Parts: sequence; C-alpha cells; structure tokens
Amino acid sequence: MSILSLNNMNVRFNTDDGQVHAVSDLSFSISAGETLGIVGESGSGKSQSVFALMGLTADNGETSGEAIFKGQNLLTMDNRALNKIRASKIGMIFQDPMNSLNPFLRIGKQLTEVLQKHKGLSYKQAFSESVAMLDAVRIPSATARMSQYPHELSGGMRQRVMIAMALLCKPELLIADEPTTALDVTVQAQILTLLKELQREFNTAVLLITHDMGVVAQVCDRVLVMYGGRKMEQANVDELFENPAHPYTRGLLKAIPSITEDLPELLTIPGNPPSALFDTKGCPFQPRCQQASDLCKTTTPNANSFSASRAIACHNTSMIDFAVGGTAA
Amino acid sequence: MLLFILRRLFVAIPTLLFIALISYWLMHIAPGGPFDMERPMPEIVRANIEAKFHLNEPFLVQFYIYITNFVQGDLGPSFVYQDFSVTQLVAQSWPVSAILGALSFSISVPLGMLLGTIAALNRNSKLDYLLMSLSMTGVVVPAFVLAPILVTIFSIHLGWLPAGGWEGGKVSYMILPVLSLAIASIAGIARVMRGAMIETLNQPYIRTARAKGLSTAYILAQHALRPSLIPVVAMLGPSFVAVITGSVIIDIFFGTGGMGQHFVSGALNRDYGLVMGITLIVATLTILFNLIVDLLYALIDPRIRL
Ligand SMILES: Nc1ncnc2c1ncn2[C@@H]1O[C@H](COP(=O)(O)OP(=O)(O)O)[C@@H](O)[C@H]1O
Ligand SMILES: [Mg+2]
Repeated sequence: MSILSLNNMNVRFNTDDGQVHAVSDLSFSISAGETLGIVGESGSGKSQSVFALMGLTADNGETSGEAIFKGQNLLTMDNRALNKIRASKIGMIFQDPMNSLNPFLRIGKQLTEVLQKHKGLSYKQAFSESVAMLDAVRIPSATARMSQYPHELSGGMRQRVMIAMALLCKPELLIADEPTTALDVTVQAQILTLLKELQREFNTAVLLITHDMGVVAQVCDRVLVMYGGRKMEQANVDELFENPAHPYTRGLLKAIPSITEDLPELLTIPGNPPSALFDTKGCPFQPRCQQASDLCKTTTPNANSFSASRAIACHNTSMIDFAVGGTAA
Repeated sequence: MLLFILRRLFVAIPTLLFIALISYWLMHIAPGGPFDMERPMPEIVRANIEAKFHLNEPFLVQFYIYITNFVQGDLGPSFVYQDFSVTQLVAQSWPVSAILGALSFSISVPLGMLLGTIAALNRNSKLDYLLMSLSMTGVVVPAFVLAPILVTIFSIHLGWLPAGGWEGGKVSYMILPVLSLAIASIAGIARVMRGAMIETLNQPYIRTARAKGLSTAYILAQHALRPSLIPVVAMLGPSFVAVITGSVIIDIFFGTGGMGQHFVSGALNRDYGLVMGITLIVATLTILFNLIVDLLYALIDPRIRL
C-alpha cells in the first residue's frame, strides 16, 4: 500500500528568460518501509520534485498534477494544512549540513521546537526526547550538544543532527536530499548505515535522492532515474544494475568508478546536462544520446511500463532489447 | 569579553588625544581669534586677555594646558560667554541633545526594521515599491530641507505644532525636531533591513525551518530576525553620527537649545574652549557607541568571539 503517489506532477519556474520546466510529468509511488532512490545528474529536477511536494517551491514557481499523501493532495494544500504534515508525517533532510541548520540558534532549540510544535510537549519533555534522539543517531555526549551551536560541530555531526531533527516525530516518510554528498567517504558510509538502521527501527519509507549510483546500490530497494526533469527509467535496484535499459542509465552506470576493473579513466556521458530547460519538445537526453533518432527530436517519449516494477521512457529501447540484457550502447 | 572591553577603552585614550590634537590645531590655524572685534581693542588689553587664556603660549603648550585641565573634568572657560564655563554651557544644553538623539534613535531603529520587514515580506509588490520609493526620498532629502518642509506643513498651514523653541521639553515642541532627525534614519534602516531580510529568507536554514512545519510568524521572529539584524547593527554607527551632525542643523533651525547650537556659534566666534569641549564629548560618545555596536555583534552572532 503506497503512502505517497505522485501523478503527472509538474514544476515550472517563471524567469526573465522564460519558463523553466524543472519537473515534467513525474509519477512514482512509495510504500511504507521501502527505500526509493532518485538518481540523476545535478540539475535534473530531483530536489525541486521533493520541494514541491513539501510545499517549498520558490515564489516564482508553480506546481500542477497530484501528490497524494494518505489520500490528500499535497500540491493543493495551503500552508497551514501543510504545516501539520511537515516534520510530523514527512521529515526532510537537506543536502547541505553546513547551511541547513540555523547558525544563530543552539542545537537544542532547533530540536525541541519541533516537538513543542507538533506534539505539544513541554520544554523539559521535548529536551529529554531530543537528547534521546541524538543518542539514537549516535551523537556522543548528546546532552552537551544541546547547548552547542552548529559551527561547533563537524559536518558529519551536523548531518546527524539533521537526521535526528527529521526523525523526532517518527514521520512515516523521510525525504533525504543528497544527505551524504557534502561528507567524506567514511562519514558517508556511516550516515547511510545509520539511515538504514533507523528505517528498520521506525519502519519509515525513505525517499533518497542522490547522484551516486554506488549509494543507490548500497541502500535502495527501487530506483527512479531522472533527467531534464523527467523520469527516464524506473526499476528494482537489482534489475537496474543487471540490465539497464535507458541509454542514460547505461551512461550513469558506466560513470561509476570501479575498483575491480582497472579502468584507465572514468567514463562519463559526453556533454553536459542542460542548465535550465525551456523547451520540452522531444526527449531531454536526445542531444547527448548516441542512439537518438529523428523521432527523439520531435516527440517526448512516455514512460512505458513493461512490468509492475519497470518503466522506461525511450523510443529506442524495445522489450527485446533489455530482455536480452543491455546490449551495445 | 571583559578583556575586549578594557582593551578597547585603553585604545580609545590615544584615539581621543589624537582627535583633540587635530581639532585644536584646526581651530588654531583658522584665521581670526576669539577677541577679534570690528573695532580693534587697545594692545595692552589684548595682551592681558591673551595671557589670561594662555593664547600667548606656543601651540603645544596651550594644548598641554588644555588637556591637563580636561582630564580633571574642567573643560575650561568659554572665551565668548565669559560668565560661563564650557562645563556649564554643556551641562545646560546636553539634556536637550540627549533627548532629541535618544528619541529619534529609539523611534528610527524599530520603525525602520518594521517597515523593512514589511517590504521584504511583500517584495516586488506595490506596497514594497511604495515603501522603497518613500525611503529613497527619506534618505536623499537632507534635514535642512526636510525641517522647513515639515514646518511649512504642520506649523504654518495646519497650525498643529510649534515651529520652534523647546519650552523646557514639552512634547509638542519635540515632535518636529525629532521627526526631522529620525526620518533619514528610519528610511536608511528600512532599506538595509529589507535587503537583509530578503537575504535571510533565501537561506537554506529558513527552508529547513519551513520543512519543520513552523508557522511563518514563528519563523520570522525566531529564525529570521537575528540574522537580519547584523547589517542593521552595522548601520547603527553611521546612523548615530548622522543623528549627531543632523542635530546641529535641527538645533539651529528649531532653536531647541541643544549642543549643536553652541557648536556652531562656538566655531563662528572662534570660541576654542567651547568647540573643543563639544568635539571631545561627541568623539567620546562615538567611540563608546562603536564599542557597544561591536558588543552587539557578538551578542547576535554566536560565531563571533570577543
Ligand atoms: N527558483 C528557481 N527559478 C528558476 N529555476 C529554478 C529555480 N529553482 C530551481 N530551478 C531550476 O530547476 C532545475 C532543477 O533543479 P534541482 O531540482 O535543484 O536539480 P537537482 O536537485 O537534480 O540537482 C534546475 O535547472 C534549476 O536551475
Ligand atoms: Mg539537488
């Protein structure tokens, strides 16, 4: 039973240069206890799609479509109604632990205010629950941390604080937007392990955004590949790694550094992702795709479902193509 | 913290001495003296008077005598208002200046912050444009233009408020001088506050606060206000100086009897003692004020350690 399902969601920004199509026609769903990964290069619309469903779209943006969370459409809710869901039902961890905590306020204040607001706890109760949560995310000497300011903590510790903050009300859905991108590799592994453990403990659904296929392999059950604001491919993690169907997914997988194969240099997809999408005609990946045909330039491919778990938006990937197993790219 | 304050106060001493020396020297090289009259006085009388006020001594000796007296709290005699010491003249006029300054300051800081925040919250709306064009006008129109305009409207045409005087500090006599002083500060602070608030509201930590389901009013008060104060505090120093210089014009225009009046008449009459006294008082206040501003920074931003 899915707790969140997006149906044809769009996010547009009005700018002086024209309308930016940050997210187009995005659909997916996520069930309790499951981890869904969203991968894609920077600028592919990952953050904006989750900001939209939390009602955090910038003033120059507008959203359309549906994001049904437990029967209610988040996209049409007003701020007051959303405030009852934010943090209490849907927790969010942001990409940048350096600037996502308020540098002017003590850690304790930033944690306790969540519990006071959503659970109506007294300061004392909120304080002890916050300390317990800091313990749960393995922050040493938790009580002392409560009176510290963010700048007194390391990046890894701050991200733990962010995680603790997002989990305070035991939300049913946790959205983690590149939670480990700003951290070094060892800390990254610790944070991911921690997220997995906490997920098991609280049975939280996790929507994990990353641009790192390695992270996907490590923690996700299912994965959604985004490019240019659109879903390119969706699959179970095993399926995707064994048998990537979309040319973009194949490119992403080739770009992972491999320890076993001794590659001379990192293979990347030639070209750059678009800095902003104004024109939505055709497949967004088509300018960088080696298999692009004339059809790709004129018609945007729909994400066609091939099985319950699998969908691919590509004119050139037939059923047979990926049944045989990702042939030449 | 205490060490910081002590160090700053200690550094203030040579700073003040230097200011004193420079202003004493500037007074000295200005042509004319306090006893130049239309009709020259007899040479013997002149020599007597100059000796009494040490004006016949070399420059540095005069300065030394002045400073040693100053340190002992004696600002010396007024050369022109001979029945008064400078200390008496200052004692008589400073309450007026202090009241005017304090009132306009305590009006302009909160009001400027409020208007700036309103503009920031409604940015690029008609209200924002209105507030910002008004504040632009407030910033560029100097007090000596604003004061006559206010008097023309409120005293001459409407007859609501007196055009000048002080009357021992009646409220109706304070309104126009305080307004003339405060408007530029309100406008300046509003502009800075608007920018600071917009900047703060775009910070990732404000997005975090919103994602936590906190109400907009709570986020403004608890999360956004403090960071936005920093640029405003940075403006308090210049604002303070502006109020002081502004008060010179206000004192003269409204005849309120504050220190500004003495400062100008002192300068015109070459009343060295009076001008020096006021200069050093203002310099001391400015130094103290800047110290307070630095302490405020540390109070607002936990990352600043003193
Ligand atoms: N306020 C805005 N105005 C205009 N364009 C925006 C705005 N916010 C984001 N975008 C655009 O939306 C696109 C998607 O951004 P984002 O979701 O942050 O990408 P990702 O998280 O995948 O790196 C980018 O092209 C970005 O330039
Ligand atoms: Mg992002």
